[in-house]
Amino acid sequence: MDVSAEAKRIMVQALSKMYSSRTQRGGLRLHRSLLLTLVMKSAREMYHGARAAEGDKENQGGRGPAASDRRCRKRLGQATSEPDFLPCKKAKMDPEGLRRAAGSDSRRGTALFTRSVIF
Amino acid sequence: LNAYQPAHSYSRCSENNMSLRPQTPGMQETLSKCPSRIVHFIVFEDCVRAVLTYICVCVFLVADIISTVEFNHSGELLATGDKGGRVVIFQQEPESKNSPQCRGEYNVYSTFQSHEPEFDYLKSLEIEEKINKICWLPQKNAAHFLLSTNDKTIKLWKISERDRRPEGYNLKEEDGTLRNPNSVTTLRVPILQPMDLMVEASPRRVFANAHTYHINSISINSDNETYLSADDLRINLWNLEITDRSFNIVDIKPGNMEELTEVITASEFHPYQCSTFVYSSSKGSIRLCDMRAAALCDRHCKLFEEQEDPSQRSFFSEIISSISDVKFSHSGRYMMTRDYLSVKIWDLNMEKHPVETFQVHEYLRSKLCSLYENDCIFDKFECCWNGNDGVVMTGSYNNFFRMFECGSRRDVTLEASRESSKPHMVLKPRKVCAGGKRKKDEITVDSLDFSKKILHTAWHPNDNVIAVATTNNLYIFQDKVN
Repeated sequence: MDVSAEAKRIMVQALSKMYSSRTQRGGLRLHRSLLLTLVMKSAREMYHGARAAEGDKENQGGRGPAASDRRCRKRLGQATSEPDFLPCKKAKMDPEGLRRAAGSDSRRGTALFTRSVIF
Repeated sequence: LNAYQPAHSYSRCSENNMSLRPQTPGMQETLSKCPSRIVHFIVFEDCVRAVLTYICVCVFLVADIISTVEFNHSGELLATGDKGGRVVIFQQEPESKNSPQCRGEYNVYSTFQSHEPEFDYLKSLEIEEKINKICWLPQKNAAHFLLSTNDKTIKLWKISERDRRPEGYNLKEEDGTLRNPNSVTTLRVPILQPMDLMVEASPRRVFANAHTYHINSISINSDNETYLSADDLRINLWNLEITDRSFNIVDIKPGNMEELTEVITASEFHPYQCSTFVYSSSKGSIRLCDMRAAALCDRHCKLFEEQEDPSQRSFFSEIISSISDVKFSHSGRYMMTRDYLSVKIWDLNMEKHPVETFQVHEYLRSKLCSLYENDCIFDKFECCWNGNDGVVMTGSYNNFFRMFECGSRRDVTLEASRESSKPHMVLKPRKVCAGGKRKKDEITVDSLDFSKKILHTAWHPNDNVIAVATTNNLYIFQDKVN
């Protein structure tokens, strides 16, 4: 749980750093963006790995391997459509939340976001 | 004598100058290729020990954050570039009769605005005026030349002195007002009269529009005719006389940018092999290229890479292995790289692993997560060699900087701060308490100030005089003379 919480925090921070670098003087720094993307990718792998392991531990009771596979697949599918580590789209009172909501499209996931960052 | 350094031999010096320079087998060859360098030799009975005790000589308060520091080839001039696009040049005071040992006295020689902020209308981006790098050209005549660069444009500056002016014109007065030609009855030849020394800086060349990405390095070739400039994905070769053309010699841009895995972080020409240069990457590898092999040096001649220790792997392994600086030794036999936590010395003849690794601030390894949060993990520290390649220096946090003696266990941590660096005060070695009980005078890791970082340092090419830049101050230290 610790690993997945830390991974989630790192991913959120990477995203906010990438957002803020858009408004920086001198434009996007390719090196910095690349490093943040790499950190985010490894954190994401770690996060999914930790979540999958957690899921397997829960299933160890009655279910067979086929069912747990199915559950794994389902979970991955869920992760792509509803990533819980991305900023929330709901309108919030604080300007930070509003700014993120205006700029993000959480359904497209991190891969596409990364694509738009590197030019 | 050190295990990996070439055997030293020394010859007697008949000069008064006390700067030390060991003569290595390869050195004679080096000297013949660099006639402008002045070298002195001295006799020793026993092994040379590096000087790691320093005293503060002078401190300068600067207007803007210093972004680069470079001594020229003789060490007489020290150039700094700042975030505001200014270049400030300091000149070494000639050794006075009263204090012949004080070589570290520098005063402001010239200040000029090198770069201005610009706007790229096509990309709707502002181009920062911050000076990323300064590179001195070897001196050929009375004037001094240097290259300075921001993110996109490199400029060649000529710094010259004027200490005379013509006086006694026929058609104009001394203040410049025109004389009535009818009032002129005799002719005179204007003569040069001495005036107060004026140092002028004028831009001689502007090398623009050759880099899509941000320039991180410039390096003059030993042939004195060409230089290279490197950005994140490409390295270009320029001729100093030609501004509208450059040759692309390295291009690591992938066809599909989504496949990008590494960028170029630093690049430098070999000190005397004019066809050899190196470039470092964000993945922690260094590539040595020979321009004689091909026009486009995408295929390296040598690849220097150390296998990562799998036990040290973390979320931030990629960030901390990114090389922030690469410097050839003066001898040309070794090179040094700096990554976030360490300094590595590489023998150009051995690619598998470095000959020596110095841990700069290993106590930060357990703090990487916080350093990532406050962005310090992205700091790019530079490193430098001393004149005889026996000692290397690099910066750290809390205004600490470190010196490591090559081939031995000797190292020292010094601090550049107003309290501990008053002029003529001997710098007291500092120690960081990594864990356990804190001893007296030790500093705990948690009390380090991460906003006080030393990213830029420079070492005089011949003397033990160093320049250390903190955020707002430039410190000049020299070795404690017995």
